[in-house]
Parts: sequence; C-alpha cells; structure tokens
Amino acid sequence: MADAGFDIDACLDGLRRHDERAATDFVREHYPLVLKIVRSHLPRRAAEEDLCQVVFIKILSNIDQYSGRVPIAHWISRIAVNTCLNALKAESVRPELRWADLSTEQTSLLDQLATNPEDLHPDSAASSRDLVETLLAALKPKDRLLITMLHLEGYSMDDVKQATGWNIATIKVRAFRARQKLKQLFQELNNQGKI
Amino acid sequence: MKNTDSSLDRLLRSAGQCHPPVVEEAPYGFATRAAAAWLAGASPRELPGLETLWFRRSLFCALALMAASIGWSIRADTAAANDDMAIASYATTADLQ
Repeated sequence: MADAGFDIDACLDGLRRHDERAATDFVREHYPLVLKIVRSHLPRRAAEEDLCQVVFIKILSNIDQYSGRVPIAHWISRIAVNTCLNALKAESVRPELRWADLSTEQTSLLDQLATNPEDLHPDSAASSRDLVETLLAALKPKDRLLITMLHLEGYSMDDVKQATGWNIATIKVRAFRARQKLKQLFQELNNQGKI
Repeated sequence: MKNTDSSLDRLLRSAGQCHPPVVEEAPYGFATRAAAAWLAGASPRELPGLETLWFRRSLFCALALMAASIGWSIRADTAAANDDMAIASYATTADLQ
C-alpha cells in the first residue's frame, strides 16, 4: 500500500504547515485504503467519492491530533470507519425485506441454498454478495458494520478492535447479536419464499 | 434452525469470496479537490446527523416548554376557580349573617 518514495514524516510536517502539496500527496497515497473502507460500508444513497472526501477533510482537519503512537493507516481506518458509521446512522430508514423485491438471481440463490447442502459455486460470489448487502441494509449500522468486517472482509477480532476502538468483549457480544438478527431476517425471507 | 445456520454460513462464505476491485489511485482531480476543500476550511459535511440531532433537541425543548405552559395555565385556572368559590361562600355567609 505504502509507496516506497512517500515520506510520511515529511508529509505530516507539511500538513501541519497547511501545505497544499503535502495534502494532495497525502490524499493520493491513502486514497485506496479509504476507498476500500468506504466501499465496504457505504450507505445506499451515498456517493462513495463524496464520503471519501468527507473522510479526508476530517483527517486533514484533525491531523494535529495524530500522536504518531499508532501507524497512520490505523488512525485513518478508524476515522473512515466512524465516518461511515455516522453516515449509516444518518440513513435512519431501513428498507423492509420482501421476497417480491428480490431479483431473479437472488431468489434462485435462496432456492439453491435451501435445496443444495453443498457450498455455492465460486461464480455465485457476486450474487451472494449482492444478497448479503440486501440483508445487511435491514440491520442497524453497528450490526451491519460488524457482519461486513468479520464475515465479508475477513477481519479478525483484533482488526475490528483497531478499526472501531471497541473492546473485544463488546465486539463478541455485538457480533453474536448481529448474527442472530441476520439469521432471523434470512429465515423470514425464506418463509416468504415458501408461501 | 440448523438448516438456516448452515445456509447462512454458506451464503456468507460465498459473499466473502467477492472482493471489489483494488483501486490503485484516486480519480483525476480528487486529491486536489480534497486538499482545496480542507484549506478553504470546509467542515466535513455529515450534516444529516447533526441537523437531525439539533432538530430533535429543539423539538424536545419546545415540547417541554409547551407542556410546562399548559400545566401552568391549568393550575392558574383551577386557582381562579377556587378563589371564585371562596368569594361566593364568603358572600353567602355574609348574607346569612
């Protein structure tokens, strides 16, 4: 991720002096990291580029608060995750899940899951992701964040702790409850399909 | 329930295999725009949340004020009615004497 020619200390010095060139370099360097997080937790009605810009303005405005005790990537990740979480919270209306609103691909995927005990074919990954995103949209922001990190992005508990600042016990309890809610939604959706 | 668990696990495993394409660099002009917005002193616009919070607080204060004034007015009315009764009974007593 980090460019070999990029000198983070010099860049941070520049940012503290409000140097535009340093800011541009900083944004270019860390854009992939921020975009990855924003894409994973993007609210339905938000544009990813707008949210990325909000994250960068927040980072640059608070650069004086960066102590240097943790890697800059961790600090950036935490700001990006919290910004996404706030954006998800602002999106207060969560859609109701209905079988009739699912696409043909999604319904056939659910049928396949119900009838075939084997793992899904790798070609179904995109449809699965799409279906999971639909289910996640009906969850609360923190539940959604946790399921995405733990089950879709492959984060460990420590990674989640780094990114969110929550302690491990809280993460475990919240993850369990989030999983239960997701299961309930999945069950309800399947029941609608059987009618 | 066990079937649901298993199906959900398989769905999540499959969804986890789908990774968005890795982005190498920012779109043209993005870094300059973000840096310029920072230097111009733009505050991060997360206003839906902030506006909602302020709106809720204002609404709550307005409701509290309304409830207090309704309560005060009822109390004042009751007090006035009691005074009227006291005056009437004093007048009746005075007449009888």
